[in-house]
Amino acid sequence: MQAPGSAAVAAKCAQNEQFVTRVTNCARHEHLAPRRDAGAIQLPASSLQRRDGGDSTLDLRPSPVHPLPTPAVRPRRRRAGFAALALLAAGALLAAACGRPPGPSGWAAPQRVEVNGQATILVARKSHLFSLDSSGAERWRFPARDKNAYPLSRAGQDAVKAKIDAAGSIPDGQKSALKSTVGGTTLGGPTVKTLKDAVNATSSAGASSSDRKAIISEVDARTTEEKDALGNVEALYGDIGVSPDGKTLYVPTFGGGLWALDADTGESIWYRDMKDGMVGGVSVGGDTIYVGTKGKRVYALDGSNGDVRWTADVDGEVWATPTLEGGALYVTSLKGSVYAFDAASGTQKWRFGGAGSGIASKAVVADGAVYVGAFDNKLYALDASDGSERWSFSADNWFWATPVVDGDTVFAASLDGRVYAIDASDGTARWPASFDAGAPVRSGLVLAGGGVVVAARDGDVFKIDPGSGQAQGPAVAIGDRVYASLSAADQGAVVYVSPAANTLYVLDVSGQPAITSQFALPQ
Amino acid sequence: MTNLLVALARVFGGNFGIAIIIFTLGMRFATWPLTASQYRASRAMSALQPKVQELQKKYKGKDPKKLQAETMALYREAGVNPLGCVFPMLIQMPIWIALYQVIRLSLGTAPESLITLSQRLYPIPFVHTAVPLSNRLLIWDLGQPDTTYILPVIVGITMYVQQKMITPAPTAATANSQQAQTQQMMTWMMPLMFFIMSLNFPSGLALYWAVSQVAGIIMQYFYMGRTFDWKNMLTINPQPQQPQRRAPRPQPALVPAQDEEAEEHPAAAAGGARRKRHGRRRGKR
Repeated sequence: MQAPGSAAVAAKCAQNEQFVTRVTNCARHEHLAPRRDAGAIQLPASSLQRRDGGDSTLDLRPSPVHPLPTPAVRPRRRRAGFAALALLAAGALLAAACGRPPGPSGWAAPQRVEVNGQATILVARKSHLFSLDSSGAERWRFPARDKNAYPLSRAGQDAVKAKIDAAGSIPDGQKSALKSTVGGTTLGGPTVKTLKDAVNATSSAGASSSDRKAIISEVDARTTEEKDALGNVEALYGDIGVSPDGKTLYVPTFGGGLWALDADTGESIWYRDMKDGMVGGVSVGGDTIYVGTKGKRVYALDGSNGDVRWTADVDGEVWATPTLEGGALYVTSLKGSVYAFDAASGTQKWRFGGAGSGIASKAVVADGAVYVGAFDNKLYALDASDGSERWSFSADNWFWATPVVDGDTVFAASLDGRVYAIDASDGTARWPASFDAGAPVRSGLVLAGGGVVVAARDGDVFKIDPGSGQAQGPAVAIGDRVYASLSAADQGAVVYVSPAANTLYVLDVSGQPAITSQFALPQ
Repeated sequence: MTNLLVALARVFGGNFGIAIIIFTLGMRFATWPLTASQYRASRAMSALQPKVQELQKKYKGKDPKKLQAETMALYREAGVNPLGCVFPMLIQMPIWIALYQVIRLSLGTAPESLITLSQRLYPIPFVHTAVPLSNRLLIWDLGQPDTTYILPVIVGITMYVQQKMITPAPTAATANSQQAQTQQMMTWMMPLMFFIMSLNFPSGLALYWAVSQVAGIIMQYFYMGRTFDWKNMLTINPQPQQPQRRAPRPQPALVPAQDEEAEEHPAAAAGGARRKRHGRRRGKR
């Protein structure tokens, strides 16, 4: 039977349009919940009309509803699901933010260059090369701040002038006027428009449109190529080559462009796209320059205009500066080979393949022997004439820093953080114990001030007595990562240390090593 | 882990890609017990649905606490963890992070990363002679994000397929429920998220995911006895299936309550297609 009061509820519900639904809904109230064995509820026939005109008997049992998951279980699943989704979303965001591997920074060694009788310092920082005067002030930087104002390379200008000369329909008088306009062209901005307008103006003198188009497309091609290349330096790793007269700098970039710059002004003389990045530096021999690329190739180029003299293919990427000595060029490859080429013709003289894994360090040639360290933890001594192995010396980690040779001793440092002095004749250690530099050594060593100067990766610079292997005085703490090789000047009294941060340190190592000046690099 | 991968690469001639593949397959075989139990769990869960349904009917409206306790007991008996299929993925996350670090170290384009790598290697000569590692596998540079979209697409598709294979098809009881909706959302969102991640992370990691998913799909296919209904792949909202009859219908001679349950069942089954309509009319008694 119905509970009391349900008649009132039912009457209320009876007023609703969707009568059937509402009654069953009403019946779901707990206090009204009919028991299963409740019979059909009889209501006066007059008070309800079923829509289909059927029997007025209503079944007030609640219809089976979708059994929802219980409150206790549902939030748990939901929470877990949402938590997982949130985690994955976070992962996706993280991926987008820092999924790409870190980019290269570069470690080209600082150098002193005499320009017009003045001493200047070349320092590289990431994708920029700075020329500083002796007080640390910026003389020029490459690439320039404003690429549009950077002049077109001399070679580029010469190419445009050659197109002008080749234009048969331009009268000679106009040609010389045009060529002088080319001289002031920069890579972008109003000067390019001026030149193009001048070219188009020759149409009044009878220049054909095909000739004018040829000149203008040459201008566009050259300026676009060089401007894009300036934006694609990426990093500077390789040693900057300096021409014998000190007027030209050869800058290899990680992005693949090789630039020849005027040492005084920083303007470009020529540019060549090497197609592959360069980690090794440029070696200069007279008017020929040599460089290896990540494309497993060695190039010999004409230093004045970048024309290729010869190329040679090697078995792995070239990560070190080639060594030029006695008419032969020694090249190391990341596959572990050492090649010797004839520097003039490029014919291969010999190849040493005995290293267990890659070689990224420069070969040092002295007294008919080639010393090179490899990633198989060994330093090899080879005979320079035929590449046969004389001896090898083992350390606990890779050899990467360029070694130095002083007389009959080879000083080499390894990534295991130790500096070794090795007898050049038989490969035995000279010092009773190797010198502990405290951190991996990637920077090339220098001989300066009567000692061996070493910079460890953590920024400590040591001067080691060559005879005993002991430090001469306390280490100088630069306090920042040092990867770039050291370089010495002034008969060894000045050593440049270029850490990864924006400062160049100048040390005096004639006595105990000490910092004489620091130059903050321009931003 | 760096050393393991470098050593593997050394074995295969310095090819890091093959090292990753071997490592992935090794991981899959090593975690097979875990994934197998996960497959069992999802199948058991779908088998349990009718029982859960019955429980809910029995206790609905009367005693939610008891219902919850009974449900959990049921799950516990069957050895099922209702938390779902995301668990193994979360467990795998440390592996991905580690693999990502290894790839960054060993295959980084910057020479500086090689120096960091040199410090991570154990003093085993075999490992030290492995560098330089070749970072190319077929067309991919494993240290850089994949620009050809091939690997990310494979990752997305395989993940979608595996999700579909793992998710139990929703029954009449669970369709439109919160759980089913969450699961469907995940079926779409996870592949999409992994697709985006594969685009940004080095392709070596995407290779790991792709190989791992493919291996998982093959293993599950054979584990399920090749019974998977491939038609389900593309359905966005699969129609609820009728609950499988496991127990015989209760005899009418039994307690009236059960009698009415049995009567309700055919009504429910017959009315399944018309469930969505409100105000369902009941026929004459």
